[in-house]
Amino acid sequence: MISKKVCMIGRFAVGKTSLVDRYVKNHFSEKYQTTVGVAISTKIMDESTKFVIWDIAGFEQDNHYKPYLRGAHAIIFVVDATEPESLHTLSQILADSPELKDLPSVCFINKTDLVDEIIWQDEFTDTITELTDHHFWTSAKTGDNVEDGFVALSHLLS
Amino acid sequence: MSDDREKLKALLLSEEMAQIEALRKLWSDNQLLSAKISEVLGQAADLTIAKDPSFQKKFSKIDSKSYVKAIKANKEMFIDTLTPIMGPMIRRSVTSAIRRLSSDINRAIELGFSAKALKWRWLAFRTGVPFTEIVFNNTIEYQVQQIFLIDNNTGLLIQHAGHEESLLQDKDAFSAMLTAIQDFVKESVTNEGQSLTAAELGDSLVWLVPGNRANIAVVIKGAPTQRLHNTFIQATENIHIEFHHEIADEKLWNNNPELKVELEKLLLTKTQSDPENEKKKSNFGLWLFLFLLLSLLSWAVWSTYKEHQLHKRITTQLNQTPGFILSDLEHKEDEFIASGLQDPLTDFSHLDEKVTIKGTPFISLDDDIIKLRIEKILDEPNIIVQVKDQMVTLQGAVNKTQAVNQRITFASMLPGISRLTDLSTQYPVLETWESYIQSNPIPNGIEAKKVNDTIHLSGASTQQNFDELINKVKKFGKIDSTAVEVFSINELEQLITKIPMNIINTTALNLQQTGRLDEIALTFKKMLIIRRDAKIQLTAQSDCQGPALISNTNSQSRLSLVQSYLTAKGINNKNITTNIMKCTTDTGQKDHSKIVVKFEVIQ
Repeated sequence: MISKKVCMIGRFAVGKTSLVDRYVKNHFSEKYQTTVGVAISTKIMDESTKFVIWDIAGFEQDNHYKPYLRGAHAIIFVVDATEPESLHTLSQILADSPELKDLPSVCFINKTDLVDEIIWQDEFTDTITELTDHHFWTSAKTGDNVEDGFVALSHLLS
Repeated sequence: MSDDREKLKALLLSEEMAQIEALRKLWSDNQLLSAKISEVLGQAADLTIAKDPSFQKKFSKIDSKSYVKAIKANKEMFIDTLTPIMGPMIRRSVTSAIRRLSSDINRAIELGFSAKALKWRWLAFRTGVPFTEIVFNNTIEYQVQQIFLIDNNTGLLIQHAGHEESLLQDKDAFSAMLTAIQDFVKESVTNEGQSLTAAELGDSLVWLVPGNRANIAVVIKGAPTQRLHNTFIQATENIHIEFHHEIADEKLWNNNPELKVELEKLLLTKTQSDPENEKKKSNFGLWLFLFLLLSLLSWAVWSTYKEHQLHKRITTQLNQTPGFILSDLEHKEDEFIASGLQDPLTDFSHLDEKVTIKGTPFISLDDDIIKLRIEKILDEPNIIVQVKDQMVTLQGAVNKTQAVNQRITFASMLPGISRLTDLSTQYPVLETWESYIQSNPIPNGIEAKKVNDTIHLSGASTQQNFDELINKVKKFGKIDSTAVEVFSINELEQLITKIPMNIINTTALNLQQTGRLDEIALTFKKMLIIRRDAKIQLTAQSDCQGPALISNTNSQSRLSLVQSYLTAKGINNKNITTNIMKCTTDTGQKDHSKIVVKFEVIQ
């Protein structure tokens, strides 16, 4: 079995940890707990692939997250559907680390369960398309599309 | 001809010849050849290493001579290069050495006088291994539980060895997290170039040993030593050399048995537990041997002590044995043999142990032996013999026959007796009836005769005498006392004295008077049986009518008449006394009741 380093990237409070918890533990907590540094989870995707998921925090601090991205096999971008500003954070990260564009990636547009609070425009989708060819409207709370997103990434890596 | 051939050759092979010439030039020109080889050397090396990993070692072999030459040739350059790193190296080395020394001293103090230390000293003495080495080997108290070979770029696990069950986290997550922490520390805490090398987790320790491409993380329980750390540094280098290809190729990660085996070799608890067990076994054997040796020594010492005590006790007993003078005591085959002077009367029955006596006869003048000798000669158990300072005293009661007296005399002449005092008394011989009669007269008035087993008594006696006699003689047989008349002295006396006898006639006694006198004579005779000295006193009185002389003469006549009659009846005169109550004046009155003879018993 081959292990793959998958890094979750996104602004704070977009739901990175919740998405990992939902996928790995099938669990969701309403309580917000900020991640310090990095949280590691693993998930066996199939007979030959195992994801080692790096849930990275600290994208608001200059370059502190960079060492954690070293050697990543795939990237999961996460944005908050109710917070367009989170998309801007992703752009900044990519500006700092353009090599990430070359990696297989997917983007989770999260918190779709907060239907009334979604603020989304087509141009946002265009921006995401510049980041990755694959994006999923997800909800860590309900689990919508979460597994699909991870599985899609797995297929990209295989 | 030759020119033509040359021309033809040049015409046909000019291009090839030019190439051969170029090759020759390349071969002969070292500079060109080096430049050409350098173009493919890297690629060739990679291919060679891929085919034969051991080539890496050959390739990286260090020629120390070249270093020496280089240093000699460029001293200043090396000094300038090494100076900045020498200081920190020395400081680190000194700190490490001091820490180890402190640890060793603590350990040495802790174990210096313990049973374990003594055991190690014995092991060092027995095997020739230096004591310090044995202490070192025995004081390594750690267990390498997990080893992770982690790619230092991705943080992914290349290979793992150890018990996965004991891991709380997924081993991949653990590897990734360790890498993340390393990165975090490197970026946030330490200076440039330094990284996290160790972390403590409760009583476990995690060592991170950095390598070029992969780091080794080791989970150790207990207190590892610097030597172990050096082992892992060396192992990291070796793994990078020997498994260069496997480390570089992600596809081979987590699926490389050879690498896993190599890592498992570093799980030192496995390799060290066996020798430890062997040590324990050998220690057990050693302890068993020591125990047996100690037991044997204890037994030997105890046996010697016990035999010495026994020898001493028997010697004391023999020295205290009367009639024996000990000269030698030997112990042969569970038997004591004593030799010395021995009196025939010596008694050895009080000895605790069986002792064979080889004695030379002699006459002992010991008091105890003299006592035994006298007792044996006298052969009289009733005589108590006491001997003190050769002075003999005989006590007790014995029938002193002539033979006994002769033996006592003989005993007094035995050697060693300065004086013999015979305080023994005559033991009463068994009394017979005849001897009793001889020495104990029968009371007056009673006659005793023994016929077969019966003693026949006859006669008269007082009650008291009769009772006493019965008590004395009843031990000789049955008593037949039917012929004994028992009476009272007082009754007899009353019978004699109760009535004065009225006598008027001075010449003859009438029948009534003689009857009365017969009764008095018989009663007095009975009294005489018991009281032989008894006397009957006769007192005559008159009414004193008429001349006193005549009255007195008449009284005398009457006394004589009564006395004569009593004498005639068998009463001796000496048992009779007479008395007259004489008249001095004439009363002038005739009174026959006053003319009487009175009877009285005296004494």
